[in-house]
Amino acid sequence: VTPRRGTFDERVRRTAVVGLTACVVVFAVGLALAFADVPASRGLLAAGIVGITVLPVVNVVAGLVEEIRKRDWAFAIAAIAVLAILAYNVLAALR
Amino acid sequence: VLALEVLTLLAGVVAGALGAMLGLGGGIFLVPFIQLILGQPLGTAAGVSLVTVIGTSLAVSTTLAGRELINLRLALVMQLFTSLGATTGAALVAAHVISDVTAERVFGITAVVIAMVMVQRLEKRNVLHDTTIDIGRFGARFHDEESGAPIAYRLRRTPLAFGVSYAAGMVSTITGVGGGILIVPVLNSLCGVPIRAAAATSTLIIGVTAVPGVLARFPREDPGAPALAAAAVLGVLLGSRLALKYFAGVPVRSLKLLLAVILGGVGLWYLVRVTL
Repeated sequence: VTPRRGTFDERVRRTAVVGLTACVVVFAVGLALAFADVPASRGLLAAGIVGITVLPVVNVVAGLVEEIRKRDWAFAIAAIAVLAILAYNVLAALR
Repeated sequence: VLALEVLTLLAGVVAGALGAMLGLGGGIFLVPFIQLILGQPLGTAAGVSLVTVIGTSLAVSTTLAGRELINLRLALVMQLFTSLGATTGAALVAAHVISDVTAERVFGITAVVIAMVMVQRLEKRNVLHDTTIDIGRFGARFHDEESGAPIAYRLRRTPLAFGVSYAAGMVSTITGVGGGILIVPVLNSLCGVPIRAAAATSTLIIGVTAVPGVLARFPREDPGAPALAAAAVLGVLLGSRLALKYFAGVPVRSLKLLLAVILGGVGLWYLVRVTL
């Protein structure tokens, strides 16, 4: 089933397809390098983990855009609150 | 080391397949595997598992997008509660307030109770065939592939749904499972959401819920953890893809039964483990 263009479903799908494909490539190459004992593999695998962790956040942003488009402010505020909580967690992890 | 990653990849395939069918992240299968079979500490198991939860969440939402099963509004508000719960869990772990034994005991009891509720309500479908009916603020309509008809549903016991979301977020960070294991049965058995819609909405929620958990639990000091996580993610993605391609039409009753058996089994496993 292909979602209609410009819908929330389509944005979620596009984010997941593009982001996941990139992460899969990074993980596969990183693992291959790790098996070959190449030191650069560690940085590549770490980049893949950071990349995959960012993708759900992009989905929340897509949800926010959708609710702003519908002018449903209660749900838009819910999305902003989720993003604020995630930002707090990033700051806590960096501390 | 290489054997660990190959085993994790294979376990990921199984976890991804079961997770995709049931709306779970697969962590419920991976955490015990990494802990029990691979002998890794809970922190490593939880961190690796939560990365794969995000992978499953994204892979499943790719396939489900367009089927109108994902209830965005419900997901957004539930994400608010799960991420608050996950943040609380991260703070409790950092402050050493909850021991691993306590966390596993709470999780075991919850899983067994939910499994029993699911078995008791095995025949309940939660669907309204009159699609003109008021679905409320958090209900939705979609085309049910199993019955071939458009159906509607309304969210019941809203405070319970949000309360369980908070608890699921906390459990997710503490134990390393996605939280779908609590969200899907409660949404389906107690809040009136059809199992496929509950599973699809849950997959979107658990991806976001896992983010605070990964940030707090991923063992950055363990040099082997990134390779283990990469192997698990690749396995989980392969497994979820296979499941959605070949098992999408599994009857609802079988899905519920499978979920109840897995919940009960894993719950008992946790309880026996902390008792012995």
